[in-house]
Amino acid sequence: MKRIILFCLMTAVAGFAETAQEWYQKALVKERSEGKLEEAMQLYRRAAEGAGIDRALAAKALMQLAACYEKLGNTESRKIYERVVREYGDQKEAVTVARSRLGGSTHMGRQTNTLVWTGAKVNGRGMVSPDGRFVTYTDWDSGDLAVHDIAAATDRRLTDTKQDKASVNVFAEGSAISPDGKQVAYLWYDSTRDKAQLWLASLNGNANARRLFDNPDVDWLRPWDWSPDGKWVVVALFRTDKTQQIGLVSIADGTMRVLKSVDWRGTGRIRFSPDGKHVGYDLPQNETGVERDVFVLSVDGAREIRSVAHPSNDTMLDWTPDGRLLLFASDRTGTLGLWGVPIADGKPQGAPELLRADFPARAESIGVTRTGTLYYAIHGSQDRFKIQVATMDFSTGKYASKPTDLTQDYLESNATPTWSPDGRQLAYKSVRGPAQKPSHEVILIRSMDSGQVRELRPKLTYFGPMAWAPDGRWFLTLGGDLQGRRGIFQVDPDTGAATTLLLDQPGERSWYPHWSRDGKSFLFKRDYRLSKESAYIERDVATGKERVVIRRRVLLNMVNPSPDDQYLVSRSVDEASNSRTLLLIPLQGGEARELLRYPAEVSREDLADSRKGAWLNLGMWAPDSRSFLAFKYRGDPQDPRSKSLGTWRIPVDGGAPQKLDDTSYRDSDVAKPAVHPDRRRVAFTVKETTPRRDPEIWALDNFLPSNTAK
Amino acid sequence: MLLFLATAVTIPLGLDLYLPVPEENPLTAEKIELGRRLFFDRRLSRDGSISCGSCHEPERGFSDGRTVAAGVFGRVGRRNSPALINRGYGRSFFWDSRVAMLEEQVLKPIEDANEMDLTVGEAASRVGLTPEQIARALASYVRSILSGDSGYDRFVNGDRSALTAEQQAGLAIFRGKGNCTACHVGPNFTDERLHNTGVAWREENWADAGAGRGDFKTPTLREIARTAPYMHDGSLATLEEVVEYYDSGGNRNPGLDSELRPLHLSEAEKRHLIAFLHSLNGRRPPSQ
Repeated sequence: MKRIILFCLMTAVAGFAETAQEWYQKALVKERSEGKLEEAMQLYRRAAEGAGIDRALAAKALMQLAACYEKLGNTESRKIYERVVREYGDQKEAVTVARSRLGGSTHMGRQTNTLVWTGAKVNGRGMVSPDGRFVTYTDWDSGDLAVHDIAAATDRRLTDTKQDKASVNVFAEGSAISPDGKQVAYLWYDSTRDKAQLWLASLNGNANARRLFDNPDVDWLRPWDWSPDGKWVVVALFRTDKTQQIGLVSIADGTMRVLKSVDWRGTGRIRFSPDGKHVGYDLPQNETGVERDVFVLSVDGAREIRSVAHPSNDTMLDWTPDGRLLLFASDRTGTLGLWGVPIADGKPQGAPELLRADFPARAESIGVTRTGTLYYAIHGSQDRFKIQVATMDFSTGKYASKPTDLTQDYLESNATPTWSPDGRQLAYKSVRGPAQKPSHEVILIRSMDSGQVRELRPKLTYFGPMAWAPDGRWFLTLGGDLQGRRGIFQVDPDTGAATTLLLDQPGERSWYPHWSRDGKSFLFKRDYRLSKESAYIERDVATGKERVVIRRRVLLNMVNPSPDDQYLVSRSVDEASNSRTLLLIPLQGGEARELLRYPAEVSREDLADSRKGAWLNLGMWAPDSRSFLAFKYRGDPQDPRSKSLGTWRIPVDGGAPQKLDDTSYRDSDVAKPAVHPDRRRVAFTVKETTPRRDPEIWALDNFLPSNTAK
Repeated sequence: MLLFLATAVTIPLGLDLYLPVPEENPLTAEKIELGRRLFFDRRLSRDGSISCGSCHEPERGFSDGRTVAAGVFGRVGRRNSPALINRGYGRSFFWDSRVAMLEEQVLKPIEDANEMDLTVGEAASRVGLTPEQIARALASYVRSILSGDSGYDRFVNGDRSALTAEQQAGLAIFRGKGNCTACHVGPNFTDERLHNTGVAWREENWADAGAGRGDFKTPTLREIARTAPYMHDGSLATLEEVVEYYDSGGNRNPGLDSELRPLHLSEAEKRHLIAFLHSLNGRRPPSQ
C-alpha cells in the first residue's frame, strides 16, 4: 500500500513539474518571440507556483517574472528578487543574479552597452582590433574579407574576389587581428576544391595578402586568435577524416603544430590567454549532448584543465586584458549570462562570478580590447515555422477546411511533418528555443487521437526531414552520424537509435531520401561534384545494391514519387533553348519525358540557379497520381521579396497545365506538405511572420569588477 | 611569448602535443626509467619467467607475435596481447575497455593468474617499492611509448612524396570505400570505442563476449605491420586476412556493428589498402 501511495505521489509530482515546465517554456516564447509581457508574466507566475519540488524551475520562473516587471518599470521586481534571495538559497546561480539585480554588485550599475554597428552586412565572423577601432568581417555580397571602421562608419575590402552575391564560390571567413593591429589572419575557402587555406593580409593600406598554410588533408580551418607575441595563430582544423584539432600555425614559416584532437563537433571560440601560455575553448561535455564546458590548455601541451564544469551550457568568450578572469557565457540561471571565472596559471581560483545577467542569446564575442571593452555580435532574427493541418480539395487546389495550428506554441520552430502509415501520428522536426545555442533539435511525435506529444532525440548530430517507413518501424532521414559523417540513416521511432544506410563518399552528396512503397528500398538524389551530374538512385536497404533511375546534368529537386510509385518529377533545364523544364521520370524504367517547358527569365549562366528567375516548385501529388500541384515563383524563395506566380495543376498525361484561382495560401509558405493516408488531410509547414532584425555589434564597457588594461 | 616547454618525452610528428597525464602522476624522466626497468623485470612474475616485456616486445610494436598471451608455468591467456602504442592517449584499457586509468591497468597483468600471478603486495616487496610506485612508474613508461612520424604523418603534413601512389590509393580506400575511419579515426587511428565486428561469433555463439555482446575496443593501427597476429583473439594471422575479413562484412550476428557490410573491394584495392597500412610504421620503432 505504501508503495502504491508513494508511486501515486511521485506520479503526481512528476506530472505537476512537467506542466510547470510547459508553462515556463510557453512564457519564454510569449516574452521573447511574441513580446507579450503580460501573458508571459501570468505563465511565469503559474510555473513558479506549480513547480512543486522542482525548486530550480520555481526560481527560474520567478527570476523571469521579475525581469518582466523590470522591463515594465514596475518596482514589484525588487520584491521578487528579494524573495528569491530569501527563499531559494539553494539555487546559487539564481540568488547571484537576484543579488546583482538588487544592487549587490556595484560594477553592474556602471556598465554601458553601446550599439556600434548594425545592418545587413554585419556578421560575427571577424574580430575587433585591439584598439577597438576596426572590426573585420566577411562581406557576403562578394565573399571578400572586409574591415569596418567603427568611428568613421566606413567599410573597405581587403580582398577582391570579383564575385557578385549570387555566385560566391570563394570567400574569406573567420578572421583574427594581430595584437599590434596591423595584420589579419583569415580562412580562404574555395568551393571548387572544397578546401580552406590560411591567409595573412595587412589591415592598413595595401593588403598584400599571402598564403600562410595550405594542406590538402585539411578541409577547413578557422583562425581564432594570435599569440600575444604575434608569432602564432591558434586555429581550429577540420581534417579530411573528420577529426577536429586545435593547432598553432607559425607566422614565420606556416608550420603547424597540433595541440589537441577533439571529436568532429570541435571547439567553439579559442582564445590565447594574455600571457600567451594558455588557450581557452569549449568542448561538448559528452558524446551526445549539446552542453559544453570550458577548458584551458597550456600551449606546451603539458596540461589541460576543465576550468568551467557545470551541467549547463558554458561557452568560451574571452579573457580579461589582465588575464585574471576567463570570460564565458552560461545559461545556468535559465537565461544566458556573461560570467567570469578567476584564473591563475591556467587553473580556476574560485567560483565563477556573474558579470552581466542578460547577455543576448545569439551573442558571439569578437574580442576584448586592450582597455577591456567586450565587443560582441548578435545574429539577425531567424525564421520560425509552424505546422497546420487542413483538408485539401485537390481538384481546386483549395483548402476544404480552415487550416488549424497543430503544433504547440511554446516550441520555437516546427517543420517538415510526416504521417505514420496508419495516419494516427504525425512526426515533425522541432527546434527548441528560443534561440538557444547550440540548437536543440528533436523529433516530436504527436498522437492525432489524444493530442499527446512524445519527444525523440535521434542519435545523430543533425538531421533533415523524417520520412516514416510504410511498416512504421523506421524513419528515413538525411543527416550526420556521431562522427560527423554525412549520409542517409534510418532512425528507430521508439529509441532514436540510428542505423547507417549510406555514407557520402568524397565528391558525392546525397539528398531527398524517400521510401519505396514496400519499404525495402529508398530513392534519393546524388550529386557528383566533379562531373556536375546528378542521379536519382534506388538503393536496396538490405543489400546496399543501387539502381540508377536517371543520371544527367542539372537535375534539381524535388524527388517526389507519385502515390502509385510510378513516377517522380524533377526540375531541370534545357540549355539549348534557355528554358526550364519539369521532367517526368518513370521509376520502373523507360525514358524521362519532358512535361513542361517554360521561360527561365534569366541569362544562360544563371539557368540552374534556383535563386534567380522563374521556377516551378513541386508541391504535392493528387491522390490518383494523375496530376500534381506546382507553385510558380520568381526570385529567391527564401527572400520575402520573391514574387508568387500562382499555383498550377499539371497533368502527367501531357495535358495543358491549369492555373488554379485563389488557392488561399502563399505558395512559399506551403513547403514540403505531407498528405495523410486518407488522401484528404494535408499537414503543412507554414512560415510565421515575425519582424526581421538586422545583425548588430555591441560594445560592453565597465563590466569587470575592477577593469584593468593590458 | 610562446614556449614549448621541455617535457620528459618527445612527441613525434602526427600526435597531439597534449599528452593527457594525471595531475597526481606527472611524467618525469626518472619515473619513466624506473617504469622501463620494471617493465622488463621478471621478478614481477610468480616463477620469474616473464616480465611485461615478454608479451609486449618493443621490436614487435610492444606486442608478442603469439595468438594469445603466454603466462607463468606455461599458462595461456584468452586474448591477444595488445600493442602498447600511444596508450597515453587512451581513454580506456584492455580489449573490453574495463579499466579507465593506466595506473590501474598496469597492475592487472601482475595479478592475473594466467599472466604473472602475483599479488600486488608480493610484487611490491620483491622490487622494494610500494604498489603505488609500481603503478605510477609503469604507467609513466607506457605513456612514453609513442609512435608517430610515419609516412602517413609526413604525407598529411604536407610531404606529398611520403606515400607511394599505391599507398595514396590505399589511403583513399581507407577513408572511403573501405569505411575504415568509421572506427580507426584520429591521430591514433582509434575511436577508443567498443564495436562488435563479429570476430568472436562462432557457431551461433560468443567464443568471447568481450564487453558484453561480442564487442571489443578498437585497437590503434599505428605500427600495425609489426603487430601480427590480429584481432582480440589473434585469429587472423596477416593483414591480408584482416582485409579479407572486413571485405566480407564480418561474421553476421545479432549485434554486428552497423558499420560492417560487404565492401566488394577489388584485389587491387585490397593491395593498396595493405600498402597504406604499412605506411603507419613510425620512422623509428616506438620509444623504448
